[in-house]
Amino acid sequence: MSERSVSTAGAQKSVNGVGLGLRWDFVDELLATKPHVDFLEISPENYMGRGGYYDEALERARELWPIVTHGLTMSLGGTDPLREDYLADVRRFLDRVESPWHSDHLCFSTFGGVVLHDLLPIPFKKEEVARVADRIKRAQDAIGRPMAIENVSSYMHPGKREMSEAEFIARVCEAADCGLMLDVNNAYVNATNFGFDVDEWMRTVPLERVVQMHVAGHDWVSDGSWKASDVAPTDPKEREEMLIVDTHGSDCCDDVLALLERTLARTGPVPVLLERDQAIPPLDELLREVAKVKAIWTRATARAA
Amino acid sequence: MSVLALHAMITEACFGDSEAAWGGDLAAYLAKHGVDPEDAEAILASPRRLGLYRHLVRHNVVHVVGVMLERTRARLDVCVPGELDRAVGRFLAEHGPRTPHLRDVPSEFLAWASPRWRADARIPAWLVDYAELELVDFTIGVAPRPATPPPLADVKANRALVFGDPRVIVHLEWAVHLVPAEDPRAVPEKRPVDLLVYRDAKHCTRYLDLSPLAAVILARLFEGLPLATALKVACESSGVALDDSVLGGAARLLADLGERGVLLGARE
Repeated sequence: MSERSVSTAGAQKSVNGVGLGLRWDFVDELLATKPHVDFLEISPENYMGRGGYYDEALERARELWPIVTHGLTMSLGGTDPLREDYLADVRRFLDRVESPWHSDHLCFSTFGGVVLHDLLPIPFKKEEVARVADRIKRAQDAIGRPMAIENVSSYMHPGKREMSEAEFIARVCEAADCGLMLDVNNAYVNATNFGFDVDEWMRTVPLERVVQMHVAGHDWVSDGSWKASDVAPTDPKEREEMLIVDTHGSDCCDDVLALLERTLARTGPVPVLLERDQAIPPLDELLREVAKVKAIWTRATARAA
Repeated sequence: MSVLALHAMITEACFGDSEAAWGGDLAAYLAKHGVDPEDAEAILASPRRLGLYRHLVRHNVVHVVGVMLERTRARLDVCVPGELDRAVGRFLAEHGPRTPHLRDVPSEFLAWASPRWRADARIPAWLVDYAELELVDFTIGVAPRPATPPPLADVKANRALVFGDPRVIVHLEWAVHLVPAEDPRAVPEKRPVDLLVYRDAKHCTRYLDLSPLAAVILARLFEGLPLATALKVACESSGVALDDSVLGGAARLLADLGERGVLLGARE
């Protein structure tokens, strides 16, 4: 997994630098203005088996930018069998968009045939390492691409911890021999909510396996009513009653960007993706944030070199 | 067993009937699901967090159903306020989404809700027709890209015709397509309706109101019968004589479909 700037077979487009998650809110403007963005990331679930306007927009986007794929419902930590029809659809889609790798989340999202359409936490238990790693290997074989697993934001640990999250991730990556989609914001969210040292976390996860990173914004909510707050709490007592939820609904905070810079300085030039899913601002504003992340990326990776 | 129990417990906490089932006595709820005592102890340390997951998970599903059945919600609210959200809640508890595509959840929900709404005397009889048409507008708009058509020839009586995709004939009991979208209190006329729903070259969903005979002819043509056979079979099943009037109407229909880009030509 050491070669991170992967060239796609057909288009010979290198994926590196700072990309943007493609969203329908701004796809028309993006295609009309064709701004400089290093790559785009899409979720196959939003396009597979789908035609019409957005399918055509994707084809136009492919002509302009390299595409990487990031899935939502593989349920790598689930107990239901992996869905063969879904995996076959993903494989066909990845072939079509020529994604050099595919990532999905280290979580469960299905149970008993029901799809929860969200990222639910899995327990960090020894017996889970081999089980989840085996599912990742089988998924990787089925889609015919290198896979990377993403660390998710979580708000509770479902059961007794037998190891830390970082250790669990490291062991799963090792057992599955897969890549890591390192979500810097998720690491920050969990460190804040569970009160651990995020730099120690970064020293434990296998940074040499990172194929891509995510950064995004988050929001503070009150614990219990789940109402969002406009500002982060400053008073420790107030903070006890609140937690961060990974909404992708605001700009990246300075702490997350600083963590990104420290991490990039250790990984070297790994592609970084800005995610925005809620309260999506005008495109020019989003592109300014991409440029801000790119400046950090350039500075940090130069230092790494 | 322990992981299965945990996943089952979390799934029910998110999609189960009522938060009260576990909110009141979380320890008993965890025990009921067979969660190991040491796992239960860890979960009980943050007892409100299951509520956050329930909030987040349900929001995703409720939101997509609400967006894709926005006009149906307005009409339900006139007769049974809040019914759409309650029905989604019952759907999650009794059945739940099965598709990996969030965009397809509203179709799964409506398939589940339709018989229940039809049997509910508080809900107008036309509501399900309205909801189905509102969803078809979306599903045709995003239906998979059409396959490359076969080599095309001129339309002749002994040839099967080739149509562009996607397209579907929708049969309704009420003329719900004619009621103004902005008036949730408008009541549609009760009459059988056959609508051809298709996607045009600009990816917009379009409708064509068909006569009953035209709908039968088109359905036979969609099945792949040669034009003359389709006309004959359709007229026989409809009890209509295959005369000049029918032939003239069919010619006008096919010309119209050609102009709309629905009829591409005939098989060689």
